[in-house]
Amino acid sequence: MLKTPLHAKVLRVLAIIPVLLLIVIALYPMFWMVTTSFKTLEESLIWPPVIFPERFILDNYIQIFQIANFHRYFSNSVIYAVIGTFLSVLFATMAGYAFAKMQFAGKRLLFFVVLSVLMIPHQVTLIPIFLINSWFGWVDTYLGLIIPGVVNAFGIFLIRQFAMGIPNDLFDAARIDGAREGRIFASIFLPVVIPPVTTLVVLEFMHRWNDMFWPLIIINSAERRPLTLALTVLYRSEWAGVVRWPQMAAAMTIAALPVLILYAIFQKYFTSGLVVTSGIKG
Amino acid sequence: MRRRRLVSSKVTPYFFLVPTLILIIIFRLIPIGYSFWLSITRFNVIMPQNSTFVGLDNFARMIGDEFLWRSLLNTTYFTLGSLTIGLLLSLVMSFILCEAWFKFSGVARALLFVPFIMSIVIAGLIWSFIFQIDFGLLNSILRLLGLPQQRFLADTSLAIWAVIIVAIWRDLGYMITIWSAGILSISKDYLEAGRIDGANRMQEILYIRLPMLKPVATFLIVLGVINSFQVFDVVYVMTFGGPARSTEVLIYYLWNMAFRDFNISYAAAISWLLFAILIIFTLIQVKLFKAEDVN
Repeated sequence: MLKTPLHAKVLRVLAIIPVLLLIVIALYPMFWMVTTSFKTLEESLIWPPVIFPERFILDNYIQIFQIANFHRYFSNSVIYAVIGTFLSVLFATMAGYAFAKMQFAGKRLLFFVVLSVLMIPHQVTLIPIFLINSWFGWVDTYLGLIIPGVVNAFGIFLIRQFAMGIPNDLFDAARIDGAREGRIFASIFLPVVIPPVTTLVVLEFMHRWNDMFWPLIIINSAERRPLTLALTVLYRSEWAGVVRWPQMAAAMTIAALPVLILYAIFQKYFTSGLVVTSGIKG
Repeated sequence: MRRRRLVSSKVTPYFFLVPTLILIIIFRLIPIGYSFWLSITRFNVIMPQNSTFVGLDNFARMIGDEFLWRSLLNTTYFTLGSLTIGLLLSLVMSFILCEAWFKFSGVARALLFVPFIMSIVIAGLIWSFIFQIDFGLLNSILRLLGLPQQRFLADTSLAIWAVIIVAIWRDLGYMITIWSAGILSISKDYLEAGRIDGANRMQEILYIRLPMLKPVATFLIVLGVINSFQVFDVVYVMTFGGPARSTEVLIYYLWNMAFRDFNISYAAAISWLLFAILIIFTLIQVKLFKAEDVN
């Protein structure tokens, strides 16, 4: 083993500094959010700023739950993210199965249509989608919040891509034994596609949990707002005067927690899912 | 019996596709046609059947709409600023992180990725505090350095940069992850061959690694442009498009036009402008998807 020369060592230290600096910048907002959520209002507004509160208080967390509707906002986020994710992943897995493991007329054309149509930027069709929701009477309802976003190209693509690598023998053998497709799907296909399904679940959940744009358009009444939208409204209502940052921070910490926990557990699925679509075999 | 099985096996594939296809027809295909129809009419919000055909009027109106051009300019500025800085910074960081001697590069990448998974709403709110005039971190630092305080979010030339910084902060970890995947997939043989030919580290990066990262760069640029042109949340949370429209991006303008002024038809026409701008990038994206599909 060669010894690393001194100038190379110096270079390495110099190269590590910007990386560390960027990590600090990347995590600082979260650090500020969590520490501020335990501060008093005065502590959050003094100069020089206090990094840690003198005493970690829970008042902010208690207060936000006393503010009308906070638990509603949380449940709304859960409803939007959980049901939306479930349907989206289920439909994508079914479609992925059909495209990867079944033969039927018009398969290539349909797959192309599905991918192409879904690649059209969402904003282009935003207004008609809203109008269609209003025909259905879905404006300001959970249905309108959840259903229009259920279909996604990414999921179908991801499942199909993975499923193409599974040998066909597995399915043909079951078919020869007379198993129905529904059964093959449930008891042979699903167990093998757990990795991409997991990826899809965490990404779809994250997307919905963090989404504010669609709720902003489709939801009017306060009691159906998810957390993201509620936070924005809360901030705007205080914006002109004094923003009670410790309370905001407590609310934001609770809002950020589910995705952060998911990320801590499923970190590999988050990154691998996003790399897969980049066209690089990582 | 045999007959029934045959029939069912012909129909079942479509059964698996039914939910997807129905949703695509209702929420994608019909809206595309509907959006087109909207853009060539004057849509009557209260009585849609009384909408009148106006041909290309909505598109002609764009030409003289100085606020639209302003928003396009802002969007382009935002896109160029955030992509150029973000891509270069993340590329340099990725080269450092992919060095063999760099221990814990996995942990570093995982931590740098955190901003990308956080809600942009939460991030935007926190950054609003950081950019704040009185107690914000940035002004605290300026004060420590003896520099004048800045009203970042209330200054017409600084506000867009505040938004750009948040966008870079958010996407950097994602870009690093993608770049790194590309860098690590470069075969050692090429680097070996370069070394035998006497290439130094600088030459190795410039003539071997960078050219091989072209597909990665294409992907990041295409995706970056598509996403940047649709930026909305961070602007909505941090600046509301202000001050004095200096951060009013295209989607913000479109949203305002459609859902606040209820100028549905004009907004639909603007969404086709967005489509026209993004179509080339979208086609490249479809091609990239299909290319991977062949592999």
